[in-house]
Amino acid sequence: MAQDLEKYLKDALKRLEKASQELLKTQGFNEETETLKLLTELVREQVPHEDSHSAIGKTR
Amino acid sequence: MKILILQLARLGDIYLSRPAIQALKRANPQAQITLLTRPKFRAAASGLEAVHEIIELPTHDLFAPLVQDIMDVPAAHARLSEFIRELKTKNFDQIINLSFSPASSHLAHLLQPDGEKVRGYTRTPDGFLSIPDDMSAYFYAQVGPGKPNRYHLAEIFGTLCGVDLTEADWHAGKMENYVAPMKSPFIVCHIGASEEQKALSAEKWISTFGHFRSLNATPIVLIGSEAESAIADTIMSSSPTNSIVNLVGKTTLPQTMALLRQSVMLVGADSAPMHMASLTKTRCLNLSVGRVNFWETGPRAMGSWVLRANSEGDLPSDRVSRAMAAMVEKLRPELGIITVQEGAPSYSGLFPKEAEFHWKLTQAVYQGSDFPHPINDGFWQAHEQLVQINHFIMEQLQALQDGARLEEKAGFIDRGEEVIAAVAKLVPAWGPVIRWYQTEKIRIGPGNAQQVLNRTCEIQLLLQQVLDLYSEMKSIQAPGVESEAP
Repeated sequence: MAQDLEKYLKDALKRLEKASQELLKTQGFNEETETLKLLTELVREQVPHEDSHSAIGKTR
Repeated sequence: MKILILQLARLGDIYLSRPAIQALKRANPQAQITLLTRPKFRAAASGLEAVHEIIELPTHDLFAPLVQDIMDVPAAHARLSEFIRELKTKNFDQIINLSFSPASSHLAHLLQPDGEKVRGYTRTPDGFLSIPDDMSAYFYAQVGPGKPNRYHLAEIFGTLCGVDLTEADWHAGKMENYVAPMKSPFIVCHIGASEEQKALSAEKWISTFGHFRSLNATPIVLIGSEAESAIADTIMSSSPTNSIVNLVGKTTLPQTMALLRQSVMLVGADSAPMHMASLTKTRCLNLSVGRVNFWETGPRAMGSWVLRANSEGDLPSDRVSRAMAAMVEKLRPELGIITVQEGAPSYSGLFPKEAEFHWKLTQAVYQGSDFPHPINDGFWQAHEQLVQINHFIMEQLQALQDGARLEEKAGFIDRGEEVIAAVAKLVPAWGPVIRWYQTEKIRIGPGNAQQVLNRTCEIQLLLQQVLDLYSEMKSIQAPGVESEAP
């Protein structure tokens, strides 16, 4: 992954985490907040390398 | 029946999912199976005829608004919402999540909020991880580096799909018509791996091939990704040109699969080509180096061998080359080589005493086999601690049943859980039981206070039963005599 793309994704992850928390505070857990959470997790998995997550991974 | 399979992990995991998907189709010939993958790994599903449709998670499109100078989170959010809406219109009857990742659990929940039709990780209505089935719970607690599981990941995927794998499910599907650059017999060697710690250095390959050449004249074809070209160039610069062909970065995944089918064997790390070889039934010499569990992700083709080493330094080149030559010449394996066997677990070989104990304890907890005798005194010391702390927690729970306020007792119960977690860290022999216990606690879904309390009490009693069993075992053991594994 190009370094600049990785930087973009890291910045995006910070923004998404903040946005997720704010939305969760105002709306609680609903479809919209969960979709944003999903987007956050997809970016998080993308950051280290595009292939993201081996099956032998941790979650929670 | 319309089934959606989520497999958002890497190449190797997609190949390891293929037998389960093929078994699912075999068991449900009328089922319409859709597979969701990441675009980068879609090619690993090539030739998978059991699948009706492959859908790509549109990561490029989803992330585009995020990877620009003016980041547009709402636009990315809207794109993902639209993708989920479109998936929902397909009205899947069942979702099978083979990914075990946070993202996949949220996706499964968004597609099936009631969770009744989901196998694999999903989410509770309030957003916590939900582990609906026993195999996912087993995976959560016991699978991965440092854990005792000995079942192959392909078998685990099969169980998640509700099917038992048979030999017939291990096949490559529709193969690409690819002609190898040399006539058989030849050996395929995968010089890289998905993780650096699993791969061998160019120097190790050079010395291995040099030694192999003195034992056997079978030519070698190098394969790998473009990123591994530099390693291949180094190997080629030190090797006779007529004995090694370099195809690193020059074959597609389907071509690699076709190449493997034509070869006599594959040599390499635990990585995607080895999982392809399991499908083409090509024998493998798996060089299992570093923090990897070959019994979970190793080769499955009969006649395959595993050479296990903690690091490259522990894997002498002459040992690798002798094993290569012995496989080509169909000789018996040297002592210490692990061999693939039919059934599950899929490998024969000697394991350290502690690992054997962990596995037997895991089988006792999950499969009802006999509980093993402990192999050290630390186990008994931890047992005493666990008996006390479990008794303490059960007292708190009884007080709650008798009407005490949760606020008064929650802190005590939390401290008790912390002690139990600490015991698991300090005495790994108790790990299988304690991870089972902790996972069952996680599995308690949202409900009213009484329901949660009742289920918590049930789990605590199950833990007590295990502790009682060991109390009984201890009482009949002669004092001062250290026990041995049977």
